[in-house]
Amino acid sequence: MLNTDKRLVQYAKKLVQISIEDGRVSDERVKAIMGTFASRPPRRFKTILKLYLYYIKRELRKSQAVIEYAGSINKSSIETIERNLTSHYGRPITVTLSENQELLAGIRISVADDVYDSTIAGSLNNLSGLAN
Amino acid sequence: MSTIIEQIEEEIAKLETKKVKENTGNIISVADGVAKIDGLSEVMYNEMVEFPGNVYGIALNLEEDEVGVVILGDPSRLKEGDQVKTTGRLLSVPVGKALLGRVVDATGEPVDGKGPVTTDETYPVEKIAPGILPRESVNQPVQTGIMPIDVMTPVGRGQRELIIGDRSTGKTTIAIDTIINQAKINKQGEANGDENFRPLYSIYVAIGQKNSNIARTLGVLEEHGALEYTIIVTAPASDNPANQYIAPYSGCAMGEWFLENGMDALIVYDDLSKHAVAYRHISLILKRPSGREAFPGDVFYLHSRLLERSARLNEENGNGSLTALPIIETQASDVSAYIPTNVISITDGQIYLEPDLFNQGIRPAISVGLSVSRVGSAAQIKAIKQVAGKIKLELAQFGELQAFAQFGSDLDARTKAQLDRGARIVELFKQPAFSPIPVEIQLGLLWAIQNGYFDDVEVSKIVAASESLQEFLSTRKTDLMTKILIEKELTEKIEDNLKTAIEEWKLTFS
Repeated sequence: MLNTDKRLVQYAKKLVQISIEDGRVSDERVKAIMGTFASRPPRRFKTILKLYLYYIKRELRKSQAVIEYAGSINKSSIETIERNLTSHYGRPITVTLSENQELLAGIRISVADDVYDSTIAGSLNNLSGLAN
Repeated sequence: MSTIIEQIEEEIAKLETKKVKENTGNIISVADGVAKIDGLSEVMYNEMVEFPGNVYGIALNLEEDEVGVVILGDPSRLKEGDQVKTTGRLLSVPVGKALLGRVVDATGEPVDGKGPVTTDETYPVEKIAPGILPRESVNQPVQTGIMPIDVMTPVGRGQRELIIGDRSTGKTTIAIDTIINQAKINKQGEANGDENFRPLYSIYVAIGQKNSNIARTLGVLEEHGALEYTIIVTAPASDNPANQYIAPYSGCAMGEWFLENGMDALIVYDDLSKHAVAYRHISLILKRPSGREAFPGDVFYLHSRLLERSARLNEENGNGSLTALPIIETQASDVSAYIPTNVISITDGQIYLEPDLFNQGIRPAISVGLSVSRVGSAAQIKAIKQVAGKIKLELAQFGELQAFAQFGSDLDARTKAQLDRGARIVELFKQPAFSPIPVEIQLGLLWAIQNGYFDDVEVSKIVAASESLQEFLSTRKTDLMTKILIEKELTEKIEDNLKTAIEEWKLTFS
């Protein structure tokens, strides 16, 4: 991915910019781009597509929050989290849930590169780090 | 059983569950001690990042899509996809007197098997050098115990004096001699109970050296009782380049603790050529643009920011000092190569060791013409200045006349006298390894040669005469030597006493 021609990287990034509407990746725009490619594939099409996928995934991660939890979590909490994250990052954030019993208790939220951890497993990890 | 479970659950409930925000990324690739990370959008330059398994790294390349991190420690268990976290901290190493007598690695972890280092204080590895205002000019000597250096290229506290020469010309030996001499002076000073005595602690940083060489150095320091005043920082050739890159900065941080706490320290970087090579290695893997000899563009800054941290502080700032003796290994005596010229321009002088002199048996093989100390006589005690003034000139003239005399047969008496004197000074300056000469004895020897007491001794016997006079002065004239040491000046009375003493020795030496 990273040893690719810089011009292809720039091209893929431009495509991602075109794919964004109102701060989010637009399904319609992505479909339109793919349609254009299908009719007139550019040179090194596979590499461009791979790069496009990589940057689109990265862009999607920015507006997606994954909430990992152990036990149960109520709907109002999820809505509050979604609202707070949206206002914090200044862009619409959608939430997906994932149950993870290894966390013991609490929740862990991942948005792009940021991880907010308030789980017992995380606290125990920190404690063991301090003990070491 | 249920009560135990309840108890554990209660304990878990008690655990603080505050929210911890972390900035993370994932490893894309790991090669030669350098990892490329996807993510870490909030990482700062030079920040420590945490890999799984308690392995740390330093973020050196901040690019648009990835972060280049040098890994400190063992990267063999890291793999693509592993999560990496920012720590918000700069790399720090333990500092303080607890490190004296210890051998530590580039991160300050002990490697000598003597247990953990008991110190609470840490200093960041990278730090901005002291500015102009807190500095004081260099005017206190560092007695190396090596006569040609103390006489012709004196080193002062806070100075940066480069030791440069080809392989196996005695560069490390000069540094080790200096450390041993400091230990001797420290022991003497502590035994005298002088309140104004300022011990000089030493830090020896071994970069990219063979483990056997480091073990030998350690053995020599231990044998001469110098280890208790010395910290050894090792990043041997088998260490990864990141550790070799960090080691001098770690050693410098340890030295800065002495500097900032009003004490004096000496740091030896052995050697900066290998340090530059390790940095080139890292830079090439990080795909930084390469320049001359494939070194990256900031290789000058690599060494200038390190050596600028050596300084002498003024009274208001504690009067501490950090003296640096960087070592550079030249290839085929080429001092005009990239790294040697860089470091020559950064330092306050250089001691150049010539392979030809070394092979002729003139050891230490110091080249009089190419060695210089920009601090000059400001870093000498008055007594040495009084006797050493003309020596460098005489030796330089001797070198020229010697070359000239090879062609002609008839020489006038004055030229012949200059040649004779020069040959005797060269012989007098010969000194075996790890045998530093105290300054008061040096003074006695110099005074003797300046006043013609060696003129009737055959050139081939000068070394024996010098050894004999050293023994005579140190065993039979201790009062006079102590007096010189206290007064630090050649008064008429001291000169009379010296004359009597040397004439007395002359009768015993045949």
